[in-house]
Parts: sequence; structure tokens; C-alpha cells
Amino acid sequence: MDVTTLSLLMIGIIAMLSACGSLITRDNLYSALYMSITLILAAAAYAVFGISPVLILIVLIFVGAIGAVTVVLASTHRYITPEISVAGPVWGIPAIVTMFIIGFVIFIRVPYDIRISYDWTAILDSFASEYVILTTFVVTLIVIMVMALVKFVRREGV
Amino acid sequence: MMVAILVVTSIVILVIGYLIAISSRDVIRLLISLEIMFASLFFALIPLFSIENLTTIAFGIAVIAIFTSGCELMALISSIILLDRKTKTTATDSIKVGGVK
Repeated sequence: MDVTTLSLLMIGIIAMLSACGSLITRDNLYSALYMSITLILAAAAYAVFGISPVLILIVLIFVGAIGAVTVVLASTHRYITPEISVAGPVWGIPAIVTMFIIGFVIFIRVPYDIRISYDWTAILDSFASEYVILTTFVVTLIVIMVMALVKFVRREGV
Repeated sequence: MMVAILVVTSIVILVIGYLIAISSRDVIRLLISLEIMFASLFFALIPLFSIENLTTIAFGIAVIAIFTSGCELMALISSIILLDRKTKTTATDSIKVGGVK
């Protein structure tokens, strides 16, 4: 079994376990958090095959936007009061250490090849090919959402 | 082997999503179940990228799936907020009728 298959197997198993966690837990907040882990792992499966555009779209739209809103909704509508208090600065120390270690490892291991280009014709050509389509999708999504919301609110007002 | 892993993962997550939807008592849990179902869809889409002639089409399908499902989920989130404003609860029992009279 090669590394790709093994990593895919691990991603699949952890995704199934986190989905099970979302099913088993009674608290909506933890259920939403497990759901976010499942979505991140679905995006990670794309990363295994090097399909980075879909990975970015899933992480940005599903995990970043919709997942975050779901977590906020779940945390504001809770029947179960939280048992663990995370108040106090002590909890921040391991978080900062972990962030530092992860950031350092990424900085050391990932070979960044960032090139800043000032060739405006090349930038415009690149933008016109792919990003216009994605931007159109995003603008369309926002317009539809806002129109639907306005319609809902007007109907409720009447 | 890899396709089998992806398909099995997708099916298991889809079934778990259905189970969450069936056992949900409030609409937020229903929203979570829908998002898990979409996660299973994303797993199921990956084998399309393995066919060389279908890579562009697979990317198009993935983009359309992501945006349409995102729209659908945002509409559901808006509905949940409006339901909470009207009925002061998010329990599924509070929803008496479906559709338009």
C-alpha cells in the first residue's frame, strides 16, 4: 500500500469517525464542530490528489462561511449548558505553543515559491480566463441570497 | 483500491447524514445533517478527476455543486433564523405545515 492510498484510508476513517461523533453527541455545538472536521477532511482528500482549486473552494465556502455560521447558530441555540469552562489565560498557552509549532514546521518544510509579477497583461489574461467565472459565481450567489432574504423579511413584515 | 476507499467513505458518511436527519429534533441538527451529506458528495466526486478526459468537466461539476449546495444551505440558515424570530424555537415540532397554502 503506497503513501497516497494509506493517507486516503486514514482520511476516510477519521472522516467516518467524526461523522459518527456528529451523530452521537447530543450537543449541537459539538455536532457542528464534528461536521466541520468531516468537511475539512473531505477537502483534505482533494489535497491528496493535488486538486487544490476544489480544496480551496470547499475550505472557503463550506468550512469558512457555512460551517462557521452553523457553528455560531449551534452555539447560540443550545439546550445543554457547557460543563467545561475555558475562561482564564491558562488555556491560551498550549494553543499558542501549538500554533507556533505548526507555523514553524510549515515554514521549514513547505517550499514556498512565491513570485510577484508586475506584468499587467499576464495578470489580466490570467484573471480573464478563470477568475472571472468564479467571481461571477460568487456575485450571483450573493445577489440571490440577498434577494431571497429581502423577500423573506418583506413577507414577514406584511 | 483508492476508488473503493472513496466510495465506501462516501456511502458511510451519507448513511450517517441520513441517520442524523431522521433523529433530529431541531432544525439546526437538520442543517448539520445536510452539510454532512454534502461532505459525502464531495468524497464521491473525487473519482471523476481520475479520468483524464473528464478532468475539466469534473472541475465544472465540483464548482457548480459547491455553489449550488452553498446557496441551498444559506437559504436554510436564513429560514432557521426567520423560524426562530417567529416561533422563538428551532424544534422541528414547531413546524406544522409544509409548502404554500
